[in-house]
Amino acid sequence: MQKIIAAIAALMLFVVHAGNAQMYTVSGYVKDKATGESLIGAVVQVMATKTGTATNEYGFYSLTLEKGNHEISVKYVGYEPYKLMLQMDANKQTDILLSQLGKTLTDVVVSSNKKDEKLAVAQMGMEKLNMKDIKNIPVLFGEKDVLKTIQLLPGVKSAGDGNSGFYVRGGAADQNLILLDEAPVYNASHLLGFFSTFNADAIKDVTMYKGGMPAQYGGRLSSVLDIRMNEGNSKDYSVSGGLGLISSKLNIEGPIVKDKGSFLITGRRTYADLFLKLSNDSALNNNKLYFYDINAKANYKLGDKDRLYLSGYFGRDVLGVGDAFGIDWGNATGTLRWNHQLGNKAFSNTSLIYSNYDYNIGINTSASDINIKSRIEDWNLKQDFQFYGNSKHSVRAGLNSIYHTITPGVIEASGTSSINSISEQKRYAWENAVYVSDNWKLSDKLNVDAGLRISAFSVLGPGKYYELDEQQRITDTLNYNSGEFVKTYVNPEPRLGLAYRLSETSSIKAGYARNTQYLHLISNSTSSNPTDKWVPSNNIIKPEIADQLSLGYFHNFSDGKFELSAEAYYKSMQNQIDYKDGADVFMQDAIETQLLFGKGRAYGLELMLKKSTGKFTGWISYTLSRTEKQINGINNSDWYVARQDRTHDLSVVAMYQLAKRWVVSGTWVYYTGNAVSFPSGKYEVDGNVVFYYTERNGYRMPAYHRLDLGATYQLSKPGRKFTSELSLGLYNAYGRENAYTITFRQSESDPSKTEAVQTSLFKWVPSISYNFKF
Amino acid sequence: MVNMKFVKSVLFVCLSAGFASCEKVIDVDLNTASPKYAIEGTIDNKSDKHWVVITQTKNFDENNNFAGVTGATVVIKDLSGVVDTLQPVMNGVYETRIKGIPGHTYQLYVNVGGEVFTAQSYMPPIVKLDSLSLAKSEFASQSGVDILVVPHFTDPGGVRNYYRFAFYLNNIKSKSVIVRNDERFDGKSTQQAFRGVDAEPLSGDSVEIQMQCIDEWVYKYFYSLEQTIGQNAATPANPVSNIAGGALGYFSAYTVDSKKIFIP
Repeated sequence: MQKIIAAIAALMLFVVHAGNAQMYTVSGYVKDKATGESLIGAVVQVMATKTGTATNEYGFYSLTLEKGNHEISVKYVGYEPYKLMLQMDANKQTDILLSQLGKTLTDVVVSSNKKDEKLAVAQMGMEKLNMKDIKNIPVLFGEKDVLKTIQLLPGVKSAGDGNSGFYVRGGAADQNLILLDEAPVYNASHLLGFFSTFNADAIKDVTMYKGGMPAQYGGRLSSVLDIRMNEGNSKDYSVSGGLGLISSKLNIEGPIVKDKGSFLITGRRTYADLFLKLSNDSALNNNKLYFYDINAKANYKLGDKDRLYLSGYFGRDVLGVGDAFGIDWGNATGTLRWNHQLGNKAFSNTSLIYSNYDYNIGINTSASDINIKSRIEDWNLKQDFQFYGNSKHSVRAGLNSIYHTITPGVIEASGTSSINSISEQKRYAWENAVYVSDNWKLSDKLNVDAGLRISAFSVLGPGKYYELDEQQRITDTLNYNSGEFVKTYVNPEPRLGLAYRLSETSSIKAGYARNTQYLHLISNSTSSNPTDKWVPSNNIIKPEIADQLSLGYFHNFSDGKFELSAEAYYKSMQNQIDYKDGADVFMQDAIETQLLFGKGRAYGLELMLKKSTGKFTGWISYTLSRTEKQINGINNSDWYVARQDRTHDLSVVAMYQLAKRWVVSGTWVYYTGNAVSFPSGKYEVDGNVVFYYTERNGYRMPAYHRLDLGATYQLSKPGRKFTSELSLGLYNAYGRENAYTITFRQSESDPSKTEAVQTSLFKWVPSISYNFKF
Repeated sequence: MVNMKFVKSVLFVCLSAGFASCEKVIDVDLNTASPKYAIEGTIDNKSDKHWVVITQTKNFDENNNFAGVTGATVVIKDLSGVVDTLQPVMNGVYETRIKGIPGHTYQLYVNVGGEVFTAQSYMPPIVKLDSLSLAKSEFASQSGVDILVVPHFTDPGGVRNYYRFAFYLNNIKSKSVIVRNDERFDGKSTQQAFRGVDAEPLSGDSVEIQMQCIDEWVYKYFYSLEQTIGQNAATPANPVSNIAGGALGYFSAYTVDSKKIFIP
């Protein structure tokens, strides 16, 4: 097997090799000097020609240069730039160690090395989040939150107060693939969406692709959020943590064997329910309300060319009302990875991934005694090759195979219960993909990223599948045995990106991508709900397909201090799903009978102005967009605005290094309300005043805006081993009552009238937390 | 069974214990719509008189007195042969004395204001309501309701049955819309616990539960009516009516059995 891989690698290199003068290859890893953490996306560049490469997800780089001396510069955000002179007279293995800028926790000053980064890369619609920015941006309850911070970027919209779901370029909340160390996370939110499942302390890199994903990603239409965890300090032990009003966390990391392996364990728990226990009100003090997260990771270098990683995440939310009712849900993921260097021009990664999301509802009353369980479970095998041919081409190829098992709902009723135990049928599916892509530096100015991903989805037995008539009534039931193929879909997904360098400081980009999505989240409520169902495609539910065209212009000015980006996109979607009127979403089986299918389209313009250097940093992002659907049987089969449509979306983020020990920050967000269906009249049925609806989503919620303020004070003196800081925050500083829901009812004071009632969630929410590290 | 709305309201109570959430009445600029007819027609197997009530929609900011529509021609036909033209007894209320027989299918024909509406409903065989008992609610402190009323009946196995329950507190009908299908308890001796939504039964009160056996289309109507009233769905829409022609409302032929219980 090894020989075959090496032969394919050699063949590909031969194909891309330009047959030049004597060339040698330098490869290795770029790491943090103090901790040994590998750095993702560090730019390794030949100063004379400005050609170079970026490190991959494991910090690996490979450059093939002509014989002779070359001055190389290595840059990464938050680190001192590094220069070295390479004497290329043979193939070399050189690791490069970078030092962090400043040594404080609250370091905000970011070096001006982003000048060339965004301009040269053909990848459009990509945002990289700086972890230091995340640590300084004030969010709800003082919990630094990855998902809340990406919602401040253009094109990424918040799903609303009390919601950590998000919409990217008009897509629904289930069209985002969230990966934690390559494992998909199916429900990335805690407590009905108030928090996300990512503990910012353990995270190294966050990259978001808004639709024009490279060919190695697939499976969702709108975005990929690729989150990579820290490896753990391989040089020294370190403990850090924080104590806050609502939650606390602890992080322990250290070497297994110095410079050869390291581990990391992070935990977080909320304790809102401990405050409830203090209450005298029996309605509150017997309730449970908490969540916890644990991230654990270990890695070990098996030799010069091999490295093994094992990482896992385990999190759970628990909500309970006395002994009578309880609901708990959570994700568990595990990833085993093997990096292997094939020579110094090729890098291979093999991953075995397990991901599980499940929820459990328990009802134990005198009238009922039942347990409802539901889960989605994935086993995933990935193989990825990266070939660094020469300075003109780098090729990536691989395959991805996932086996899904979905249990929509198993109801276990105890013997005395008045309800039958029902085991709803499990669903099995096998999702496969192969991909190949080439990053081709056509010329000094033109960079092309071309790729093809071919994905296939097979629906497998055992199970019953249905045939429906035009009114979605079941006409036939088809029985399949274990291992039988019910239906297979195959979809080619081409990906193309072009970047043209107009000048030293500006470039234009264009891109096209097709994405297919085979799993769909069925939800019938306005906010994210842990009991939303993941439904796989089958003989009736077709895979969703999106084609996206994008065009962008990027410009740096004032010597790299400011970055301006403007991107326009148009997305056309097929096989979009929506409910028919009066649909029963709690029906466990044959959900296809409640769904209607059609098409969608989304288009918009995203603008961003960013300042990343100096005492004052931040950005302004603005998105103007529209997203619509057209489904026969809904809204008289006319185009209607999708629920997540939001015409204007503005975010202003500012961070200021006030004094040596003070950093203050503020964010202001403003967006148009979601599209909603409000009544146009009323009538009386069965003694109730019932509201009458005409068009779907014909109204808007009121505009949402909010100011958050934050301040961080460095308690310890710089240079000490033990550092600590105090973070203060005020969410919704001017207390705007943003509408969470608007409902209609008969007036309580005057039953002959009807009125509209607005419910809003948070007004002023202060937070304090204490963070330490040693 | 597991009422999602209840789950969410419980969760909301838990969470809002710590947060300052607020509610206020606001002004919303709503469109108007041309009036549509709303028809409520019922036939049961016990009473000797049955009614069809015809009203219209009003704009949101008008008052809640829904005047009956006069001058309509209303006909009910029992498919086994009997036809009756209904007589207006009050504004908008049309009466028939046709016999309601389980197993029969009835058709409704309404001609009003130049529009024609038709509907059909099947009266299922009788399922008896055996008894009522009382139970204490575990969620007493959350919902404020202490006492639950539990109807006992045996669902016929092997056939899909649909039920609707009416809840009377001291002879006043509760506004709650309660429907069940037997997907979860087919063939079982079942106990469905109910709470009074508008008012809590207190000591000395009488509670009457009326159990109706309805057909699938009437079940679908009331199921979607409950969602429309609750305004919980992401896409609020009008209930799925079994009346053809564009009217709101329903036509239901049902069997009825009721039992009364006194709260000690």
